[in-house]
Amino acid sequence: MEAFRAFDIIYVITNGGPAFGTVTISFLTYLETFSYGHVGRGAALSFLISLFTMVTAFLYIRFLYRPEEAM
Amino acid sequence: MRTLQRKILPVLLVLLALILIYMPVAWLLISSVSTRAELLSTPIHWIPQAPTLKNYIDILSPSQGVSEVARTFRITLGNSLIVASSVDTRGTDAGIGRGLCSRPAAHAAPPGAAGRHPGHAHDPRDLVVIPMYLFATRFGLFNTR
Repeated sequence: MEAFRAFDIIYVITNGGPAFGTVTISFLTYLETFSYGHVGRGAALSFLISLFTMVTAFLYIRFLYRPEEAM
Repeated sequence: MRTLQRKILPVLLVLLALILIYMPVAWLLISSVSTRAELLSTPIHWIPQAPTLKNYIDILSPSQGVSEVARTFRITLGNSLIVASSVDTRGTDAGIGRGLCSRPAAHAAPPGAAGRHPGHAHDPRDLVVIPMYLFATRFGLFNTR
């Protein structure tokens, strides 16, 4: 889930290039908000990322968590 | 009076903490359903006067043709999933390797003793990031803008 939101390495090394080939969803959010000035669209993207992360976390907990491991 | 304070004060503190935590999330949600003009208007208002789902439609519906963001969104979602899956797979491999390395033998020291968990083992991220960093600095590939 942390890797799904990868941003820093892409920003530093490729800056999303070549031809948007290495743009991740977090980097797209950054571009939309701060480079293109579409604040609302950036907020929508951020909310979609949050939603996706929450759903993934729920699935992880639902299917991978075993109560006996907590003992 | 003192009992009342003991009961009310924690509740107030928790409410304050909840407000501080969820206010940015609420603003995120509100700004995602607001128009650009409304977001840039002053004074700032919390409740949008004309809420719209245009931002979500622009992102999720490629047939709109409004911008390239819908097409880019799918590509970037794929890229993110590739990154996440590859990191997950690499982490699983490293985890299996570490598990095998740190598996105690029959005559092993008791749990908690030195050597049970090899502290000198390299983090798999170091094995990838450090060579990439050296390579990129040598050939001037860093984005230094």
